[in-house]
Amino acid sequence: MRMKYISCFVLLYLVTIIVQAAELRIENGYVPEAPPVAPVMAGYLTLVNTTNQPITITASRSDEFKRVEIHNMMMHDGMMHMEKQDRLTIPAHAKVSLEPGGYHLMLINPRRAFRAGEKIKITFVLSSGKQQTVILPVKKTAAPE
Amino acid sequence: MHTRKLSGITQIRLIIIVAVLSLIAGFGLKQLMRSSGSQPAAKLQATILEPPHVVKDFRLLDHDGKPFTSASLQGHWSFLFFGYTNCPDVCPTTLKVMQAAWQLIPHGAEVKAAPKMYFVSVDPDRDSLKSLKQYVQYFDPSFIGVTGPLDEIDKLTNQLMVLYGYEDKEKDSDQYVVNHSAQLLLLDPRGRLRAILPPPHKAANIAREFRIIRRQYGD
Repeated sequence: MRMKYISCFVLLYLVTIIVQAAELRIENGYVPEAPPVAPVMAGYLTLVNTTNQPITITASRSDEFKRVEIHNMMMHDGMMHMEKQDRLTIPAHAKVSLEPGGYHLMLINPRRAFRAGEKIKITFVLSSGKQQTVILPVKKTAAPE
Repeated sequence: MHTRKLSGITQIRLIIIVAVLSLIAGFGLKQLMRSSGSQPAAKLQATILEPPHVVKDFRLLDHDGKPFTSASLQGHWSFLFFGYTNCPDVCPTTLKVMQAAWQLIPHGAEVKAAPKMYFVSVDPDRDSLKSLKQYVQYFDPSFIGVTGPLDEIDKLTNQLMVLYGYEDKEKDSDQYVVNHSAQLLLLDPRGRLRAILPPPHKAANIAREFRIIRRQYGD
């Protein structure tokens, strides 16, 4: 009987994390084209959590870059500060936007230059242990209006 | 090339002191302008320096390796932005804005009043002149990258009230963050700091304010 409960719980847990991983939806993702010599690139996207549970990203990576980090840009006394985020939590039924001047993906040391039209694959590791891969198109972006 | 001798904490303390001082200075300047009534009739987001602040005695290099000194700032208006190429967000965004503003301002060899656009790297350890040139020219072939030894950069940033500092910079490490001011500096054709444009930057606004400032304070 007890065994049954445990396996039931484990099964439920597994189902939950599968659903969770699939329920992190991506909107408006892109990587602005950067100068070919640029040692870093930025990635922008909106992470939408449609589940009842918070989802936490604990790590990010891409085969195309030496490292991928999530940073937050903040302004203090007229100075821009970048702060590495070890975890990024998207609350239940909420979205977090990574956009110019705020949170962004910091794509460090590209293995080659990327031109507009190409696609970049990025994998997020979630606190549940699940991974989710997103594909961001490289775009030539205009200055903000 | 150079490694800073100050520890991270000392640097941050220094940054805070400079930030507080410049805030006080900025506030005083605002009060002064208000009381003297020298605020121009047109509403500007930029802070106008009256009188303009003479910039001198620094020796940097442009991206072709030629000296970049106060003499380089004579004879044309200059926009200066300070950053570094390992900056993924603010620097490329600002350079795109500068390019769009540049498109809105009449320029070309025959236009005497055209400004020059400079990107000054405050990270000479990682930004070589060659990569700086390729970096700025990606945004516009007319843009000029500038850098040099840190003590010479400091001579310029101190006069322009620009702040920057390194975080977690250890010896021989190439992974560190540079915090920096995000304002655009506008210098007049006599190489004097005339205006400070605060972020967030918009091309149409930069072009509009430039036209007003140039008209009011002469070419």
